[in-house]
Amino acid sequence: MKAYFLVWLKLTVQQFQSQIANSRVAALIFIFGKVFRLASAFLMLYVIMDKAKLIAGYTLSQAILILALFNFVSTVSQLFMRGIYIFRQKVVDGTFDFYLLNPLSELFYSLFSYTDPIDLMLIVPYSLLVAWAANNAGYPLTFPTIVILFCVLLTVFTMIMSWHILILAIGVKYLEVDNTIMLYRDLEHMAAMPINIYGKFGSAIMTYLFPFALMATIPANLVFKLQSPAIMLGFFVLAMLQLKFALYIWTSSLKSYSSASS
Amino acid sequence: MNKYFSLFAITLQEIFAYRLNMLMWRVRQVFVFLVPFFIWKSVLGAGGMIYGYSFAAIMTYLFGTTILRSLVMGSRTIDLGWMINTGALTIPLMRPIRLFIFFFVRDLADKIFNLGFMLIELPLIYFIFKPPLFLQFDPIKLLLTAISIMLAILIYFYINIIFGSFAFWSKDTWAPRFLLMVIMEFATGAMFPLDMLPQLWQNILYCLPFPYLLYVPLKLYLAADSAPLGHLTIAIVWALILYAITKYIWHKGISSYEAEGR
Repeated sequence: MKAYFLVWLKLTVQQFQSQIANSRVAALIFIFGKVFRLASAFLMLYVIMDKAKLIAGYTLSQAILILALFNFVSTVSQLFMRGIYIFRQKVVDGTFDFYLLNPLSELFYSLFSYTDPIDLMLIVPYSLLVAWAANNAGYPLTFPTIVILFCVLLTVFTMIMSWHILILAIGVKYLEVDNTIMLYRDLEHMAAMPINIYGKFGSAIMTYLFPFALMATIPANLVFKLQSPAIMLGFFVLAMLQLKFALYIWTSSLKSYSSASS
Repeated sequence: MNKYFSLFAITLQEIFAYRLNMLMWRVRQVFVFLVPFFIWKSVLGAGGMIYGYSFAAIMTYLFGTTILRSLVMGSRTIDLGWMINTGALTIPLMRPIRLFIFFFVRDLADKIFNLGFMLIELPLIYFIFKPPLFLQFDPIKLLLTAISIMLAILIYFYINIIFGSFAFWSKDTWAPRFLLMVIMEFATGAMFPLDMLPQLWQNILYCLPFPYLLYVPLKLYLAADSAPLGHLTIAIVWALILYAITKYIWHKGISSYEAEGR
């Protein structure tokens, strides 16, 4: 475990140095773009709820917390699992073969080797935004709430990781990763709103199949005390089952890998 | 003329070569529609109006943005930055073709591909969700809409050439393009109709080229534009300004092009 952490740290520092050395202006543009995107999402929510007052039973300040939580969880998961966006290229140019020869897990390199330093910098303001939104909604974050949210974060991270592993497995077998991960990201945006708006069937899929309900609506419900923290036990079991299944599919996909590119 | 027809056919063949990729792209376009559909359904599905929009009007707007995105924003010119950075631009430069027409024909092929699939997907979405729609039959309004769409296609084409041309001077073309995408998502009216914003914001946005890509053509279709001829005139002015900027930047860029990588 220590070796994995040290390698991840080294790769992240290198990534940071590369960004500072080669693309400082680009990094600033990215930060501005991300903040602008978040601001426009908040603006949309405000515009709608200025007239509608309630969305799926949530007030504006509650919906803002859901959006802030979604933004935070989505950023944290993307921050660590950035490698998926360049995985296709790694298979095509044969770099994936080097991952397979490496003493560390090929999955670790495929998924965690391109941590985005820009996202890393945004984590602090995004977490402060969550704290502000909770306070604004009338539910200031207490120590027990933070512990519960941390448990949710670990569980949802496991579920998101499982989906990323499944997409990588598709990449190994069919070389199709880019649009699949972007499709996942498009779907993920559904989590930015209370999942009740997608109807019973839609919200069931987003809760039990995808990790989307657990990204924002369920943790918000836990903050609002609309759901019991005990439900997290069920989600923890579900996350473990999804991870086991994803690892099985990954292993199977590796067996059919022909290393044709190298 | 024949060579451009061949180019058109080759571009379509390129798109169809990677079928899973193409399928995932189309599935993504459907989901782009579904998220705002559910948001507006939860707010207006039971009746009433927001900012003068009924559920039928907002659904028509949503259907319209989905179609127009395919038609206006379907583009292969986004590859220009990559072509400059890898030296791939050298190949079309050496051929007896006019480069702007080369890019425009490739764009047209992409638009026809997107529109073709849209015509299959949208009826499916319509029959599944049965949203109320407003159909425009007034020939004058339809003519103004068609002119506005043609201007939108030109404006977007020039914007793409300008942003792609940054690659003549910088390896980082993705950062400005990301910022452009984020700004366009908001300023074109793709997220929500721009007349939901305060008047001052609308006035500022009308001075930019972005509302003329989606928002203005749709308002013309809905016969809800307060100054149709004025907005069409501004769109023409923007198309001319962007054409002049494109010519200038391209001329400057091509004289510093080193065909690096070839």
